[in-house]
Amino acid sequence: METLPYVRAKDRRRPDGPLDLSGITGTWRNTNPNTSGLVKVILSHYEDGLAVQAFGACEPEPCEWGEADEVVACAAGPASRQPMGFTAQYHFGFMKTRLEANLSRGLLIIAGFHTFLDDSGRSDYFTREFFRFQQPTPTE
Amino acid sequence: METVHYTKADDQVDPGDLPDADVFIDPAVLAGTWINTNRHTEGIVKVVIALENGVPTVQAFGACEPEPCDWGVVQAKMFAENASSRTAKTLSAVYDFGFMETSLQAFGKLGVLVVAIFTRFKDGSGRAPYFDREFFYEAHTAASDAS
Repeated sequence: METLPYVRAKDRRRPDGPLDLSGITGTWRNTNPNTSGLVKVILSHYEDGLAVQAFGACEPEPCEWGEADEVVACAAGPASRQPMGFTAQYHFGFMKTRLEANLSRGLLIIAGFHTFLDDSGRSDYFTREFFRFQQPTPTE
Repeated sequence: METVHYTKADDQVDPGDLPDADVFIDPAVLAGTWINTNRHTEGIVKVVIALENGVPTVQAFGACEPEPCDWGVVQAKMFAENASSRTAKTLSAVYDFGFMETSLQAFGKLGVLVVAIFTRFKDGSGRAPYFDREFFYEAHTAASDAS
């Protein structure tokens, strides 16, 4: 029997099928209508996995961030098929942002790690925002 | 006039509100030895957050038998409350074990260290990338409870 490498007990298991993304795909809107951070996030299921599109609070319209890079859909455990969240990266040139999201009690909690790469003097900062599910995306 | 780039309103900081460049984000608020509140965890048993030559570090210990697995010491990165602040809000660290990569995000809340953990496997074992969240109390509080 194959031995799985691990550094903590819970990693000694594997799932019996792929991750089922239907429970997480759709439009998630910030519960704070006056946010100065992320307005909404659209999660889509493609053949290669999960796609993430984020929209930042800008005027007069939200700033469309486009599709994120290096998206990893996460399960509830190493042996689980239930989606639990994702990680994603954005590279804007002057700044990079890593998003780490998890589901909790019907909300999608998105943590943002924002690192400035310019000489603007701004601090690298952390955000944590809450999103509610709005509508499912059409099946392609 | 210099243009300040932004992707959301949070990124916009008036020049007069920029933080003092000589002041660094202080991780001391999170420094210490933190013990998992779940004595039977199969995840992370303990986390030690320290400062080494001004650089924040993390040392995590996974639940293994007969002793916890020492994950070693890695450098961490501190993030502030916002773009104009030097107040530490959260700490981020990444472990790369070769077969697996784990990122830790830690912040303090009401005396508890909350650690969000994202793990992905790189060994083709079929294990799913997954999210976990665990809670830790500071070790010195356990000692004072016993006195």
